[in-house]
Order: sequence, then structure tokens, then C-alpha cells
Amino acid sequence: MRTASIIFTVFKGHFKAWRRNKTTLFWTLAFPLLLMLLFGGLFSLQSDKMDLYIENNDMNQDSPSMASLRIIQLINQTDSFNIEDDEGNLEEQIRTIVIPKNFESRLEEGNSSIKLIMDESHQTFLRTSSLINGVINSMNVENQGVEQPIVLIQEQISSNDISFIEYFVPGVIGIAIMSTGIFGTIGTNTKYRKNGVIKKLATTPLSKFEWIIGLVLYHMLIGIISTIVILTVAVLVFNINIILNPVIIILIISGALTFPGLGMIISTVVREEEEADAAGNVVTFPMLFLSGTFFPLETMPTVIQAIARILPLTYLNNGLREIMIYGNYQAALWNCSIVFAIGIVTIAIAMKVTRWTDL
Amino acid sequence: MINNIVINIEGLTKTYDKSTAVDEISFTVNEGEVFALLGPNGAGKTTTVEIIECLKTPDKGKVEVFGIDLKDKKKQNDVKRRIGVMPQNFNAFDWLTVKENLEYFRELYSSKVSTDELIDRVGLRKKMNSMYKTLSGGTKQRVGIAISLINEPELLFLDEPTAGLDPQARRETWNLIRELKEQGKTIFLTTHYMEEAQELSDRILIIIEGKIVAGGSPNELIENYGGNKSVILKNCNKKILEDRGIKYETDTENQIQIIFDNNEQLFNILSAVTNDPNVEIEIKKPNLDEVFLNLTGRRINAEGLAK
Repeated sequence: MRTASIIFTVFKGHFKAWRRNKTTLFWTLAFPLLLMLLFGGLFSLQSDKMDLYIENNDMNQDSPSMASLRIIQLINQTDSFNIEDDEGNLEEQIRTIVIPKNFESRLEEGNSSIKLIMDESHQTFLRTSSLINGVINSMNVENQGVEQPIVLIQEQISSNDISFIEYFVPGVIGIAIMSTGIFGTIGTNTKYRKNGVIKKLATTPLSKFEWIIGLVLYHMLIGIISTIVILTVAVLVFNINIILNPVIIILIISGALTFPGLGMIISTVVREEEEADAAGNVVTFPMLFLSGTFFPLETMPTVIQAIARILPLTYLNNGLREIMIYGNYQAALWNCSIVFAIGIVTIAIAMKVTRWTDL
Repeated sequence: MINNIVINIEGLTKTYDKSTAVDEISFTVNEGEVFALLGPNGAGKTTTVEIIECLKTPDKGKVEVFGIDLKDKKKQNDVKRRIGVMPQNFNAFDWLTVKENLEYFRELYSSKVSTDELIDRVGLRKKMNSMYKTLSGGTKQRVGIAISLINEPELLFLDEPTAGLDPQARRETWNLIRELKEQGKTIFLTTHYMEEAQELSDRILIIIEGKIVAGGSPNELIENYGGNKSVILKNCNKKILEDRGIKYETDTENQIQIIFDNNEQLFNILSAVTNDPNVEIEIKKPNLDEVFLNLTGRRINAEGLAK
């Protein structure tokens, strides 16, 4: 009970200091947000056009009907799609338009239709269906006098394809947890060691265990706050779909064990406050770029993939992505258990190597 | 009256790499006294005090606090609960207020001390809601002393409590230490300021290069190692002195220094010059500066360096 109360005191002290120090507050919350807005914005501008597969079944002998060619022409005129022939693997096709047999003849009868096959939960679904509806309206205007216009039939498919921003947002959360955990812990420990706070604490009944656990709990709360802020901005700005699940909390807790633990271990070799940032960068920089934060590991060279497999951020990013974007609990829990195990090991090492006396 | 021994040190030695910071020192501290460890920077004061505070492990020797042998690591927490420490270059949490800092440390000790009362006791009422980082050096030291009192310690360690403070802040800190002394606290003071040790301490131990060179009350030290007292005369006719056979040294053209051993000699000097209204008389008693000078051939400057 006494230990719990002391741990809570340590936790509360760190949190109050974080809340009041505007510089720390900025770097904790604004840095990941800026990263997300910058890269998310840049990659959103990469291409305005969406791939659209067209399956044209309305053939007059060997050539497409005039009406089907006209609707394809109108789709093309929207300047929003890269039109592909429907010859690829259906699983890779995010959006497909099917022009049925007898499209032209049924158009003359006034009861024609075209089919859009797409995942309704996909972020581009609304834009796609609205553009196709626009095309159909234009075609209907051209065919005034016909009793029934063309209608759009929607067919739902499930798609694993995600946009860059959907891929990136869990990575941004991972970066936030990693950087506050590592930089925060190294900065706190070197500063407090230099200005004598650690020495003062060591003369009290406070134990190393209570100090470290208090620090870990503080990082857990900061991780949760950062995640809420990042997700809120991601949903508002990029309109992405996030699957919220308690596994996210378990992942944040695991990350908050791992990275402050690493920070504690690094702190033992950093003597000066001025060296703290450099030491943090040595560890965070490789993880930032080699842990699949920006691009899938599968697209990277084999050597990088091998390195990524020993980095805890890889598993945190993968876990967050699996649960938030794909809703794959099993994969998320597997990654979570790896991060948690690394966290327990790093905290155990940190407890062992952190020097409370003989500083 | 039998004094209870609070600290007992026997043959304490601590080395760093190949240099010996503390070399076979022994001493005791009694309950209710202000005990000062005096010496220049690097003399081994802080190493000694940090061993007693359970912050460092000695290489050799016996260290007992309240009769508890500090070799028994499990019992160190019992000692920590009964001592209050203000380490050298003390700092608290920058982004907590004075009151919050006190509450933080109170929780660590599960202490029942009222932070409000303590704030009044050390004169921090006006600053209680100020962020620690915004305080002046003197006020920070005051907070440091308040924090070291948060567990109502039986033994208080103050390591260089006035280092870097301006004269006024130093005087204020001294007054606070005097009040604590009046309340009966045992205070272990480490300092390189001669005046501070002389003003505040009941007993002083002079430590140089890890070894104790002298010890006793300030008066005993001055008596034994301070050398003779002297009279300084300004605008004095030297012939009067020569007529009475008084030996003198000329400091400057208008200033004469005469060393004396006893009151009879002093009376003889004063009666020689008492009829001359132009003579300015100053009686100079040796202080700890002279003690240190006589013991080591060096003086300690404001930065704590022996030169």
C-alpha cells in the first residue's frame, strides 16, 4: 500500500511537470502531429487519380457498344480515374465498374444499370460513387425522353488495401510512444542526476523500483494522451477509419514499458545533460526509419527486414496497425506479446543497471 | 551529562580509482550538537558525509548511525527515515511549486508533518505557490532545508548550505540553522567557509586531503592553532612604544602590529598609547582562517580552493 502511494507520488510529480512545461508538451504532442500532417499531406498529393477497372460486357459482335463506349468516355472526362482493363486479379482491384450485357439495348428501354464493386468502408468510396453517379446523371441527361434512367448498383467487397495515411498513423503513434519514452527518460534522468535531485531522492526511503515504475506509469498515460490526440486529428483531417479496441491500450502499456526501460539503460552511460539528445538519437533514428513506420517492410531490402525484426518499434507499429486498421486481433496480440516481453526484459535490466547510490 | 553518540566513524577509507578521497578517519558526533566538517574543496568532506547518508559505500572502516551499522544494507532504510539531508548543490523539482515539492517528499516518507507549518517555520509563506525554478538561490536553499526537515529528522545533514549565496542570503540561512540548533536538532554541517563553521558549530573537524588534521570547539582550535592575538595601532608615535620596550612590527607607514600573549601585555600596550587621541586601536583575535593557515600554510578562498 505504501509502495503504491509512493509510486503514485512519483507518477503525479512527472505528470504535473509535463503538463506545465510547454516545451515538453509541444514536443510530445506537436512533433508526431506535425510528422503526420506533413507526410500525410505530401503523400495525399502524390496522385489525384484513382485506379478504376472496367469490365465491359456490352459487346456488339466483337466491338463494344456505342453506349458503353460513351459511358467510359464520360468516366474518363472526370479526370479522376486511371482506367484499367479488367484483366488483373480481382483481389487487387479496389474499384471495378461492370457494364452489363445489353446495356445499350436496355438503355433504350429505359431500365439500364451499371455496377460498382467496391469496399464501402474504403476511404475513397464516397468520392468514387459520387463521381460515377455524376457520370450516370450526365448520361441520363443525354438520354432525355427515356422513361427510366440508368441506375447505379453497388456490390460490396472486402478490401485489404489501405492508403498511405492509414498505414502511417499507427506508425506515428509508435514514434510518439518511442520518442517520449526514450528522450523523456534520458532527459529526466540526466537532468535530475546533474542537478542533484536523484541524489536527494536516494537519501529518502524511495527505492529504485518505485522510481522506475512511477516513471513507466507516467509514460503510459502520456502514450494514451498522445494516441487520443493523434487519432482525433487523423480522423478529422484525413477522414480515416480506425478500429478502436482495448488491445490498443495493452500495446501502449507494452510500449511504455519498453522505451522508458531502454531510456533508463541508456541513461546509465550518459553523464552530461548535453549528451542526452545525441544518445537518444542514436537509438531512435534507426528505429524511426527501419521499423516500417513510413513504408511496409516487405518493400525493403532483406538486410533491412532482418534488422527490423530485432527492433521493438517494428512490433509496436505492426501491432497497432493490425488492430487499428485491419482489425486483426490475433496478429495484434502476437505483436503485443513480443513488445510486452521486450518491455519486461528492458525494465528488468534497467532496474539492475540504474545506479541509485555511488553516483 | 552523558552525550549520546549519534554518529560513530572508525577508520573510514574511500578511494576512487587510485586516489584516496578519505583516508582512515575516525570521529563521533553527539546528539544535539552542530558538528562541522571543514576543509577546502576536494578534501573529502562530501565523500565522508555521503557515506554516512547511505549514498556511497566505504572501502574500509566502520560507520554507525544511531547505533546501526551501515554495512547492513537492509537497515539503511531505517537510518534514512531518521535523517534529513540537504545535499551539495541541492535542487528540487523545477516544475513543482514550493508546497508541491514539500508534499512530494512528505509522501516519500509517509510523514505526518504539516507542510503549512513547515512553510511558516522556514519563512516560505510568500513563496509557497511559486514554481521552484523561479526562486532565488537563497530561497532555493531555504526550500532545501525545509525538505530536509519534512520527516522530522533526528539528525540533519547540510552539505555546503550557503555555497554560492550572497551575504544576505547566507546570513538568513545561518539564522535558520541557529533556530534549528535551538530546537535541539543534531546538525552535521560540511562547509569550506571558515566564518560559517565558526559562527554555527559546537565542534569542528578540519579535513585536508582525506585526513583529519585537527578537531575541537572553535575556541579550542583558535586557542591551540590560531597563534597570538595582536593589537593594530594607526597613527602611533613609535618612540612611545620604544621607550616602554614594546616590540612591534610595521605593517605600513601608519600602521603598527604588536603581538601579545596575555592581558598584562595588552594593558601595557594600551596604557602607552592611551593619552594620544590620534591613535586608532584595533585588537585582532585569530580566527579559523589563521588556524587553517597555521595548520596547512594555505588559506581557503571563496571558491573553496586552498591556496
